[in-house]
Amino acid sequence: MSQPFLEIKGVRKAFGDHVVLDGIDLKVERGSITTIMGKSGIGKSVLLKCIAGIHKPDAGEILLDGRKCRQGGKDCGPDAPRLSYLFQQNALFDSLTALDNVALPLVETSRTSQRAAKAKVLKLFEQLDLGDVAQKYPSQISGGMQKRVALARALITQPQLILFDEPTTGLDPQRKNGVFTMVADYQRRFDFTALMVSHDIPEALFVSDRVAWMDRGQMRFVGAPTDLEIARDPALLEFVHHRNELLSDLAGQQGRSTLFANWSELRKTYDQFVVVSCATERRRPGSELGLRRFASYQEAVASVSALPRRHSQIYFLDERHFGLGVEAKDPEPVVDEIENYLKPLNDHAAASHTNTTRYRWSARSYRLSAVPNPSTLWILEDQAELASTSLSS
Amino acid sequence: MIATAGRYTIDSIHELGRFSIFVTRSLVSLWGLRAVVAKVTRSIFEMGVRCTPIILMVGCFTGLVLGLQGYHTLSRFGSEYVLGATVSLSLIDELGPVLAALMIVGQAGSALAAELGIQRNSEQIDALATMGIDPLGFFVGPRLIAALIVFPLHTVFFDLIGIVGGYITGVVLLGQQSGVYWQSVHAGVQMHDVCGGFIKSLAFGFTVIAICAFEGYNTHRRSSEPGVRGVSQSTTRAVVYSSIVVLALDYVITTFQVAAR
Repeated sequence: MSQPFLEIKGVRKAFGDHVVLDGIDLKVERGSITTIMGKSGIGKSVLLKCIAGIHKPDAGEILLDGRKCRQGGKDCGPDAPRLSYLFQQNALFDSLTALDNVALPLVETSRTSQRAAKAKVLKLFEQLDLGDVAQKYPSQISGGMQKRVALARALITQPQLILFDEPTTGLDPQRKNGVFTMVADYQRRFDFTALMVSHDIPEALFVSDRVAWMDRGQMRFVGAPTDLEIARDPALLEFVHHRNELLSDLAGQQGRSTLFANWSELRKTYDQFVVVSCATERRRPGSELGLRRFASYQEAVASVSALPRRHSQIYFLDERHFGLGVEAKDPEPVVDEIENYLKPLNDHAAASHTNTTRYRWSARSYRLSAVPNPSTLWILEDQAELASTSLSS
Repeated sequence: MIATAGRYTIDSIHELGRFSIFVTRSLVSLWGLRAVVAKVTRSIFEMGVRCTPIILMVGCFTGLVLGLQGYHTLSRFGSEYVLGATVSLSLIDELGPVLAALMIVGQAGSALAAELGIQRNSEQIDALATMGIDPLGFFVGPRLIAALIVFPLHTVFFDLIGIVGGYITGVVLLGQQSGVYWQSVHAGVQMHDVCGGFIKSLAFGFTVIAICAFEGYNTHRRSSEPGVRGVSQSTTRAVVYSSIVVLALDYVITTFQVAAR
């Protein structure tokens, strides 16, 4: 295996009695985009600042391209790779124009003359479509544009590593997407290694090669974004599926993390786990999101809850799926019974459907003894949905 | 109580040590800084232009009041002919350096503390550090050098306008002869008085700008509340500490000057 470009070994940092980083280990490959996720206030930015040399770690090592850095990312030796930092609030100097802001590191840290520095900045502005804002002050340009100017300042010294501290804070969803696209695009064009802190799931995952999840001062998960699907840590799942957790709270049901916690107990108590799912017969972008889907979901839950038979607590899986454990050796009658209860709902949807989306609720049963964990359940459910879609098409 | 006093003393010594390191690093980092002269010139312009009107105004009123009070007090003893010396010596030895320093603290010192506090909160200082630029050299060092030039200049302006203020009261309003006033000024003021005032203005300038910069720069570390309130606390502390230090230093320097005469 090749040597990681950035390696963090057992980094520890405390402020007084409050331990923020408690032995962080992380490896970042050259030319990759790695995203660190985690709840607010758990020390993600502190870790970035330790790497940048703004904070000095109490213990541990930071190696940049194999060189041990004495004070964080600063002072890693004479030929060490350059690093830049994109701050959460951009940290642009409000008394300088965009052009002067970007030229500052060149003018102050190299022998480049003012004229040569400005020419270089204007060339970069041209590449980044920032020509219109060169003579404007940060307060005269939009938040998204400020972010691009800050990124231009980070790029001007041609760094090999850029640290992004929550680059989408305070931006609307459209501009957030724009920033992630920009990060991915610039990373390809300028060939730097990116280490990013972000809360934006799933957007950040789309542009990341690796994902790290931090909790209680340590890295609890490091892997590819797709590996999150099979992760089993309830806290990580709660974080990743926070939107589902919100909906489960709104629906008054237990969510995925509870399902993970209760799975062993469920397997002992019940024979089957029935997943009630919603198929959409006609989709229009965005129509499956929002209150319309959720209202339908609540109606389906209400129907199933009215079953005059024993059933366990209903678990919210997502806005298209919920599940419940049942005591029945034979799955067929159970599924039929639930589908009977969902029939009026489907009939009503069929009668009143508009040109947007028509829902059809159905049920599938899984033998609990054959499903070791909920992750397997998602895989089986995905396969079943895929098969039914192929058959229907 | 003893424990509290001990802790307070240790904290104070610790803080004094940090302050000394801060000042030393600010000066040392000037060596590696590019375009030092341009930065110092800009600081002189910002500090000097910002404070000149208020210095002239306060100096003029101080001279007017000194002339008025001095004339009436001296006339009780039949010594109104030494009004010029009284006004000029009071200004050059004491009031000029002290009041000019206090005015600059209120005007430029508070602005400096607030500016650095905001730059600290908005991570501009950290941003400089990540670019490989020493924030102390960039923000603080040039201002300390500028203070050594601006404070004596402002003190001279203050003294001159104050002496003119004393002239207006004594000669124009109260009818003393112009020649008597200027002769008294000429006879009363010695070179060591001018040098004493100059030394004080240098000491005050360097110390108060260092204190204001230290408070602003360490806003994040010393404020019990973050954000805007933190900046407000830093600014208040900068002005209060600087004012106290000016008066305390004035006493110490005067003691040495008197002993040396």
